[in-house]
Amino acid sequence: MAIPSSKDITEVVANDGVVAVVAFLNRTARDVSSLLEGRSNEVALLPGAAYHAVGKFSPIGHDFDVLAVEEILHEDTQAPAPQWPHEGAKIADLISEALSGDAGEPTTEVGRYVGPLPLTAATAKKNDDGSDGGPDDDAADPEAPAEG
Amino acid sequence: MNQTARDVSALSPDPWSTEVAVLSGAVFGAAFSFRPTGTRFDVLVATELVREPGPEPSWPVDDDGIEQLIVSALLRPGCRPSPSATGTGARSRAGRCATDSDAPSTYPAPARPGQTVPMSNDIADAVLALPPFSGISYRALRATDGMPPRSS
Repeated sequence: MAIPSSKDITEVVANDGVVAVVAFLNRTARDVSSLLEGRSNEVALLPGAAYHAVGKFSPIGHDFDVLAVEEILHEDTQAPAPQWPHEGAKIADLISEALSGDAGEPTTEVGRYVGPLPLTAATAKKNDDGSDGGPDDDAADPEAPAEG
Repeated sequence: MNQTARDVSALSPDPWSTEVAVLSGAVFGAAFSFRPTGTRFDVLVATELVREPGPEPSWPVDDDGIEQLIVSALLRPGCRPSPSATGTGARSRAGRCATDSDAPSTYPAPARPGQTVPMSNDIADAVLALPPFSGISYRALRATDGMPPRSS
């Protein structure tokens, strides 16, 4: 089943009791906002999509961590080029900037964007150079891949 | 007999699309079935069970009226298969017809009246038809959600 996520991090952290935010670096997800009523920022993570942890940071002024996970493409999967910076620090800056933005009125029921993720104990796929291909190898947490 | 489904035909590249996306989690109860005269198949009428009040149903309130509506649709002239039909057959707004030959096999077997039918959890074709999104999206975790250990 598809897992709902939001393009707007302020919507996500509007939930009570948030201790971590997962930032999905997507390749095959779908922006389904056009299919939903009213304003929406919803992105559907497709069933079977797999992600591996590539970095984690604690945004200043917030009491939760942000875990960045990058989608692992299956063989022969066609996907557009990543629309995010390659460097982990720039991704962190991007997310921090988004967090400091005006939250505004939530576009939908924010409770859709909180809850457990199916986690597996798979090992992140390594590239030829030994890295896992992520933007921040040093902070990677290979024990927390999530499957959408 | 939908109340929360979405008419996604306008999103399809197929100008003859008649597709309606039945949402994940929607539940339908079998109401009645009948065999249209001159056909070799049954029509099972299933009414959506809604958790909250939805829009007023746009179909007749009595079974005979519903049956007549379906028979009229079957007899509508000028039907031809939609090139990309993947859903169950329905009239297109242009007066042509789609076939149900490609109906997803993952849909559950027909139910008897009184049974509830959990619809397929497969993601709707309309969603898959959207272009891949390669940007960043977010989801929050609470302490009870198996979150990763906090960094120091």
